[in-house]
Amino acid sequence: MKICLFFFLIITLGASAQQPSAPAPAPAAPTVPVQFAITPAFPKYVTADIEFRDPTGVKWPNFFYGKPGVTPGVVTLDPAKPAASFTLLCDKMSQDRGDQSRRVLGELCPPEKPPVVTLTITALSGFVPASTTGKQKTPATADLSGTLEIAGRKIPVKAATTLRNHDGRGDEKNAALMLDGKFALKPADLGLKTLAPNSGVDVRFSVTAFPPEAAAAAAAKKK
Amino acid sequence: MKPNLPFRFHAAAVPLALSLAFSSAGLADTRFDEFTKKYASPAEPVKVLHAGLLGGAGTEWLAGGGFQADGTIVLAGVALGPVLDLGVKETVLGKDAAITAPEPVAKKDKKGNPEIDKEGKPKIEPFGWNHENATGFIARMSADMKTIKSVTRFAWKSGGVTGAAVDAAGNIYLCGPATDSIATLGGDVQALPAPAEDSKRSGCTHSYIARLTPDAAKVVWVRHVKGASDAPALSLDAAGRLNFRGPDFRVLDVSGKQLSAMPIPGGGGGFAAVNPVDGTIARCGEHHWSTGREPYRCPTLNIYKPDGSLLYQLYDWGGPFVGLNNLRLVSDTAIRGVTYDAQGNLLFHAWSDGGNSVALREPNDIRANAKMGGLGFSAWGAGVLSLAYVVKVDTKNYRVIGGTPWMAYQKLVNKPNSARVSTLASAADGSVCFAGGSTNGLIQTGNAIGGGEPGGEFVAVLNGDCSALRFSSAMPACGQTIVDDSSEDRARWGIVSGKLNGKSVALFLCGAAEKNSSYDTNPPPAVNTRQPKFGGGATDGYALLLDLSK
Repeated sequence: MKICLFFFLIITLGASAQQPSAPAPAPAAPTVPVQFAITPAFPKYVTADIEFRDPTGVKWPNFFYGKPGVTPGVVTLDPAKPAASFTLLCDKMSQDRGDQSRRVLGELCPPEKPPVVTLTITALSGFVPASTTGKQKTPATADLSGTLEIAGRKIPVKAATTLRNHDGRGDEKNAALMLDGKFALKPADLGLKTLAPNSGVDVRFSVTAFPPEAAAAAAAKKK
Repeated sequence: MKPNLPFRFHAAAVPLALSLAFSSAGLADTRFDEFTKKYASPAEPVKVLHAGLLGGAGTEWLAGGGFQADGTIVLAGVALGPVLDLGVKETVLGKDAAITAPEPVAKKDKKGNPEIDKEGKPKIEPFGWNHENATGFIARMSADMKTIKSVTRFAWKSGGVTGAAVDAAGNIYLCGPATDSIATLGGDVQALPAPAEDSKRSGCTHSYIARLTPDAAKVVWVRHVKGASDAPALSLDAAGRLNFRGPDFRVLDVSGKQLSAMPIPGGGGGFAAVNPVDGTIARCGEHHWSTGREPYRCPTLNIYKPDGSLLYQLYDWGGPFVGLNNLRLVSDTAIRGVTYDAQGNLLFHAWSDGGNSVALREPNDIRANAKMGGLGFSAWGAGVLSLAYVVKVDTKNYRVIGGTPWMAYQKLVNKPNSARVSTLASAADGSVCFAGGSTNGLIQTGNAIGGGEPGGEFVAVLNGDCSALRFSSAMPACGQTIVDDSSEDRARWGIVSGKLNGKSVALFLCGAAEKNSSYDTNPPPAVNTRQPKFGGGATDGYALLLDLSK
């Protein structure tokens, strides 16, 4: 009886989903934007963060977040002339209250008075376009160079960065480019005295960039 | 050229049909089936020593207790009258006030309209710890719970019971809401100075803590204090001092001398516990962030130094940060109850409205998965529902050392179902005990005693790192009163653990109705019970005694 129900359901549901017999045209390949904007005006939600981490895991990490800087940023993925320039202004720190001494940047973070962390990217090099063919689809990668500013220090950095295209489906409803970069510093770079000089501080940042027309489209939709 | 078939199968139809057919045919297991089978023979089972009622003709429930060295079990509870009558002549401490049977109060919705159950009958508010009739009583039981050694009752309406403890010498400590009649109990009665700050709490306005002799026949001392308070609580710390939470935090020695007092850190609202090892204070709750793309409710867990100043801010990373594209832990989450074990490890239970919750991450590192694998429960396939989490944190570095999500699973569809935790405690052997309510689909162990549908009020015991389910059982007709408000979900159970004749045991205590009114109509589970039938009133006291050494 149960097996009959099984076949009945397959046949019934299959039949009910019957489609026209004409072959459907092959879907057109989606157009991937090549230029993305990074501005504080769009979107309203937070898209930028910078974190500092003790690679040994002994010290607790510090998480900063905020918005892109006011100077409009841009990321261009044109393989012939890739480029990036933008600023992240992370002026908020998670868990900023209470004793900060267990955190990797604890020395720089008086309770409720965390430093502002600014990352200014001025150059892109070593661009490897995304691979969209074959079984292994890999995001684009590049090195982003610029300056990290924190607690009065300006530190030149070069971040190995992935640049992942998002198609605008799912939770993030806009087509987007998600940047995720990493670089390492020495305690002395940050003026940290409680960490062993030969230890490291791993830094990771992320920001979401959007096609320039996304902000305009969102504004028009709101009207 | 394709053959012209009478039917063309849509690719999406096949898995759907398979799912429905296998489910209907009983061929595919849901997670309810999978986990029920997995825990049919728990790896570290507990043994049910006793489960049964303790009640007279009036309304009463059990809230706390402890264990004396000679094997006596001390049960403390609340009677609402008009009689207690447990079948043993009761010693009355203090001067009785006139009392009548408590009137049921209809439950109302947010608009003030009476709530109606499925049968069209008005829903009734559960009786709670701060009822005007609340009167404390103590029943001292034999180790097998078959014999009542003594019954002591406070004067009617003098004070209820929301916390109890028994020290190594057998002295009994009680706390609860009070009236001015608390001064009639006897012994050395002293009013403590009112708190320096208004706590903005609302459950009661007068609290007491008292010490009774080991035979519960006399009050040694009573300390009482006026001031708005949640349900008073007490615990013995590692140094043998009493931590009393009323309108504020006070530390007393066993002679009743107040050693210190300070406002509850963090002000009104939230839930707090004192670390018995170092005196630090944990306080939990939720932080509401502006709505948008981020979670609105974010959990808070602040650790305070013994002087009340903030030490660590845990979780509470900020809704906008948690909502980042590379996190998206967007499920509303709150920490709803906190306690400590004897070693100073922090235990808490949390709630979320979905599976993408920060409760699964380290308290100080949102990008690190916490050791929350626990029982293997996962929330995939969940819609919006209530999930619970039980988490143990090492307070040396505030990393999770054990934990698990807790939920029910639908029986016919492979999806989670809601469950909540309202009471949590650590046992003498390090096991983690909790109780709460579940929708249909509670995962029960093979040693469950409910005997009916797997839903409604439940109790559960995990091993020390929350990786093994030692006991889980629906508890029909139980958990029918509000024992205290140590949890956002208003605790319906008291949990006590200790050594009984050398063995680690746990007591789950509550108020039970004559029969269940949700999921099934079973009576409260009975194992080796002394009392053969329901005593009367709205509820009887109920005790479940588990041997954790088995």
